Amino acid sequence: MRRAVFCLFMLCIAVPGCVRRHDTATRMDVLRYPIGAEPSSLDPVTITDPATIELLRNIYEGLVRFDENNQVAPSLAEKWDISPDGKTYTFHLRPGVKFHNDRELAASDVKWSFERSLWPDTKSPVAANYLAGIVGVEDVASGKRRDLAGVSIPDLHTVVIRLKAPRGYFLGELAYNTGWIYCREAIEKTGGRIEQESSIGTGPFKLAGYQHGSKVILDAFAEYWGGRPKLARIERPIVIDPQTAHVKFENGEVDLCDVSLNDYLNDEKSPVLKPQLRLIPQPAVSYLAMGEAEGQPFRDKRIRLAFAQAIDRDAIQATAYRGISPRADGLLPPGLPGYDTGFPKISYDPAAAKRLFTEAGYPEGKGFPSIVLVYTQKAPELGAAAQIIRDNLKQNLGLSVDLQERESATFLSDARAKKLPFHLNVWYADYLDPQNFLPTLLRTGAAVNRVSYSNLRFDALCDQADREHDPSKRIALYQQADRLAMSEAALLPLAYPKAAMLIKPYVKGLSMNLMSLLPHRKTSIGH
Amino acid sequence: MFTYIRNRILLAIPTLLAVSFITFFLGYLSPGSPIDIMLGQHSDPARVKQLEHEYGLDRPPLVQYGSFVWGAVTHGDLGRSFGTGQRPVTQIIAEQFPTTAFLALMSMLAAVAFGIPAGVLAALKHNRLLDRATMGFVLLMVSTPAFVFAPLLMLYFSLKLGWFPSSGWEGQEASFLGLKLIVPDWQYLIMPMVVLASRPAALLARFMRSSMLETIRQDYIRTANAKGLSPSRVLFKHALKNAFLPVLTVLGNTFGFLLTGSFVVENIFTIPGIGYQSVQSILSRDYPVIQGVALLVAVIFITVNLVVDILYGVLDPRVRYEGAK
Repeated sequence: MRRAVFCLFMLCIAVPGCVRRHDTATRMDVLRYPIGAEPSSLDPVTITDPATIELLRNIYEGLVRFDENNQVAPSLAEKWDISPDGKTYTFHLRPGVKFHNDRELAASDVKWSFERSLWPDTKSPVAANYLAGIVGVEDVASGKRRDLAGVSIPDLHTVVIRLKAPRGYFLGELAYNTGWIYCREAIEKTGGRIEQESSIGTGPFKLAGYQHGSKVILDAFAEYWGGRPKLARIERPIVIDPQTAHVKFENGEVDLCDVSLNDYLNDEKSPVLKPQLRLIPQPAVSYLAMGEAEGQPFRDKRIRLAFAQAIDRDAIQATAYRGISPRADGLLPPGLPGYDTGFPKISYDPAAAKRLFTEAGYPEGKGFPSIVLVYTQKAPELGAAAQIIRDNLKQNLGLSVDLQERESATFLSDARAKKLPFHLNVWYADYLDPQNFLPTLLRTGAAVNRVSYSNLRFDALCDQADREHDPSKRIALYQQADRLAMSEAALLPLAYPKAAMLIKPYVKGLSMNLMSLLPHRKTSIGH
Repeated sequence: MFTYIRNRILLAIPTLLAVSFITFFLGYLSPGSPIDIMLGQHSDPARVKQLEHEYGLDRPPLVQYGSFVWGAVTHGDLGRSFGTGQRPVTQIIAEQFPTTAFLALMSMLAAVAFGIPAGVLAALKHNRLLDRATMGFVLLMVSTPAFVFAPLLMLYFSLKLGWFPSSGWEGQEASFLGLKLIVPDWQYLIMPMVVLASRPAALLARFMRSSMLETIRQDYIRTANAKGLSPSRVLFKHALKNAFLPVLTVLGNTFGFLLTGSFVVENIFTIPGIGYQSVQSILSRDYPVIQGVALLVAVIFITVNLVVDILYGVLDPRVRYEGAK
């Protein structure tokens, strides 16, 4: 017995002594931050999730990129010319750009990368959408041809892209990951698939290791055209549980971490964590969708407007979004070109809503079909918003609304099949252009127009804006389209959701834009 | 005995077929599709159709199932994952199962090291303070789910005391039977092992206590005591071996559950095992991986039950199997 007590005593002394406390970044040039999901793929053209895109953005680059000011900026192309008819883009590649295998980038890599993105065997879910403007895309995407007719390479450093029609947002599309450039010979060596050994780009970091379910390691690329990054390494532990990620941050095991809205409010009360918190605007808008398909009551504009006036969006902003994310009236979020500070509001006006509803044939809500408000579990704020909407509609229009939360895959599947006439969702832009909000969400027949909204005037404004090359004229046209659609409550915007992050004070030089963290070209660790 | 084992193995074939059939059709009938997950918010009907064709999901379900079974039987090919670089399912299992097996083994050892002595002590001190304290503690362990216990350990031992890293699986790469695994540094192992072991340890303690209580009241124990054998000799030579027999079944099933039931622990502590992979695959509707894991689970349980039955015969010669005659 005495021996056992002695052993226990020794253990109690020994354990704390021999375990290193994990509260400091011992390596000055290593940035550690969790990735909240297993990377969906290492192939840039098959990924659509923001976490993997942000990870791979350090490895791969496109001809152009979005900079800290949310503007299209040169990347692998140092400059470009656009023909007067807006249909031909000539990109001049930056000289001396090297892949991670030390081979110099050539114009043929650009052409091959675009072609591979489109080949059916690459199985890219989105490349055909985002390269759709280029001549010959359909032939390559359907497998009829391997060669992309719309891309030519007159010399080693010039790429000419011909478009089917003028496309004012083409550069924005090109900045998306389906426009990134990768190394042909490396991919051919791994049978056309991008695996660890063929993850070779031109970015400031190269893939040094990937342990499934554990972590991804990126090492600085010394030959990077923009100069060697200040960090030697980035370590990305895969941490699915946000609470675990938060504990890791508090414990000093990681230097940055995403924070949920609830944790944000708790962390604000902590004198230690509060100074490390940062709110980050996103290119996103949450909205209430009222489907206007044949036979739906929401086909009547008066009903949509009555709902818009009966729902207290200020209460949603204050309660569901805890006053952190601003109320939305238009679809274009702050920071995005075209964000309209003077956007006309549809005010909360229960009396006017009731009048309009009665005028539409439903006094006191009588005779209105029963409705179910569906929302995805992916955004927790939507659950709280749904409850406010249900109470508002009951109180102001006499309607009974059932609420249903759906798991993400089921929600996506049902939304695609247009089985959700009344739902809450959040739209995140893929590139920072109003085109990725307005015609994408509301143009007649658009693939993700889940509400079947159709207005010829709106379509005409969007088409004109899509073709326009003068940025100020384009923006003005999109703003008109936004005002038109919102005046008809085509969708009811609720808020522009913000994200939150915890950042250790010793992390310097982080750069980000509306999309996410930018490649860590200038990030450093300085205690 | 040989015939018995052969029959059990033959019986496993329809069991595995049934498991694969049920898993396949449950996946097929469940709402949401892997293509929608891949497309995310972009999912548009035309592209979904094209991708379904490229992944072979537009074929009739029976054809898809038949092709899966044919590949599995003829080439041992369980298909390719829809995500994570479209790796072969067998490769995913080979990479991730050893981690789960290692964690399960360590947890099993911990559970046995705590559960068996605790049960024996509680039985020997029946209705006394030690018995009540042990059973109270055991009740607490049984009733605390992993998703509560794990964060509590994390907050106290990692955040407050700084003894252990909060999560992760860092260590040395090792190879066993041609399979690679990371043997974690002990700091990374302790908390997940304790969480995973807590419930089986508690169950073992309870089973061991009741089995021991029953055994020490048997006539042969009374006889042994009457013969003047030392208490330790009675305990270790006569009581323990016989009391252990019913516990063996529990032990076998417990090991099966540990091998397959570490879903919560692996996700909370970010351990790259098969539990972690399963949750990711279910969320992304990665049917080939889900099927592969379901088959693995079935194989584990069939094997564990078979081993337990064989051990039963070895430990207790009174047990006879029909086929052994």
